[in-house]
Amino acid sequence: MTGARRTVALVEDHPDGRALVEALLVGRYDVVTYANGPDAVYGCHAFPPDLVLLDLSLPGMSGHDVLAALRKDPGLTGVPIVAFTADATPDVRDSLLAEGFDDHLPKPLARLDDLRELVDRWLGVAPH
Amino acid sequence: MAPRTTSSFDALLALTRDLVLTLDGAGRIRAASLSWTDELGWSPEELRGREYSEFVHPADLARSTFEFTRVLGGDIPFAFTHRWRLRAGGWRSIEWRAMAELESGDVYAVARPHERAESRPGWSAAGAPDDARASHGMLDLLQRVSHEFRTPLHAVLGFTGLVLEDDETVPLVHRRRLGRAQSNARELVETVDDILEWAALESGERPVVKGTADLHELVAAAFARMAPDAAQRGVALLAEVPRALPPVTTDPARLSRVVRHLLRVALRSTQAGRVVVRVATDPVTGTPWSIAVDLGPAFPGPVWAATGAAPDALAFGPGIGLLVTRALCDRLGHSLRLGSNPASAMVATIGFAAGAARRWA
Repeated sequence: MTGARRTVALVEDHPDGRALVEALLVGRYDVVTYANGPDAVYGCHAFPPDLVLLDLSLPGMSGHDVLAALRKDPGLTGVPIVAFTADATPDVRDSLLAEGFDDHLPKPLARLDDLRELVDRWLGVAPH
Repeated sequence: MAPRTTSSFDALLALTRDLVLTLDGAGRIRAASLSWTDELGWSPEELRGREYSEFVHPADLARSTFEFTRVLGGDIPFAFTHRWRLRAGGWRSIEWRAMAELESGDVYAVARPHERAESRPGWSAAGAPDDARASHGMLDLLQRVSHEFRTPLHAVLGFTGLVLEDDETVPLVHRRRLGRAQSNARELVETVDDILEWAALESGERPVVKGTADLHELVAAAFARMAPDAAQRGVALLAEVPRALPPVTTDPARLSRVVRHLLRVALRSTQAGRVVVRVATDPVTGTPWSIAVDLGPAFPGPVWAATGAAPDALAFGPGIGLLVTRALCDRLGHSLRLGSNPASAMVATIGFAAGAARRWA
């Protein structure tokens, strides 16, 4: 692969959740992690990623508020934002897409490749 | 002497227990609530006229400026945490919500120290809750429990999956053991979801959703979902479903959950190396649909009599699975019958009563 590696921003308050995504994407993408919403809003503004994986249940500032803030940042126009959530409500996907998320990936992952394939798909990268 | 006048806002600043500030567009404090004295030691007079940046921890200043600028730009109120200087020395984390009055450019900010207990949504603030509030509160609690279970299970399944991806260095015996760990973790996820589903139905929060289901597709989807566990246990999943079958009226998502639960019971108990699902005309109601799942070895009648145990208890065990499965079937207007087949397997049959179709209309 040529050129700079693409960057995935992960907003996740659970440390093992962050470590897992880093392990799943290592060698394929650069992963920048944020443990809370305000850090993510600030960090994504200062260092725009190519894709954001956003947990919804975060301390202080919810994932919904983070989404709203990121959508208002002109520097992040066109950056896909994917809800990555342990919410098991049956119609959660529809409501998240209606809210403005580009995609939804439930936790736990049904297959580890679900995450890799989702990131590949959104970043236009051929499957590894 | 003229009577002293107090504006509503002044009264609010005097009475509120939250930390309230108003600031001009340059970040200079215009007014502060009396609560600052109790919480951080600063009197409103000491704060007035000074820039908020004087009180913010140096490491948090750049972030604070960024957030303040966003609020001035008319952004939504949000929670933001930074550290404020205590008058007596030291720092305290404060969580802010703020918004700007666009005409004047003034900023209104409300904060609370992190140590203060917060009310939890979904819980009654005072008094005994009525039944509806109690049900909603229970559902809210279970949703939180579900999230709390699913988050660590995500890590358990993910990290064990990563180890299993390494074909070359993990011995077969360890792969099998990790597979069992994964299978049990997935079962726990499903169990938590079952409980949540049941609570949602009981509370009326998510009522039954009328629809139709193609039983061929429904069984195939259930098999696909259960395939990893079946493979891990070395059990084949077999279906006998007529191709030309009219769709059945049901809540498809809930019916799928019931079928998956029966498959889980069957995977646990089968000794035949296979689980068979048969869709056929219901011998009891005569409708075109019934879903029969072989659950495993049947116990002879004398065994039931000797133990005093009901056949469903023998099949499902003492867990909550049967409770949830029966409740779902009941709410869907379907029946759940237990019996045995000539091959001495216990069979659970979901029946679609003819009357149920009219109830949906």
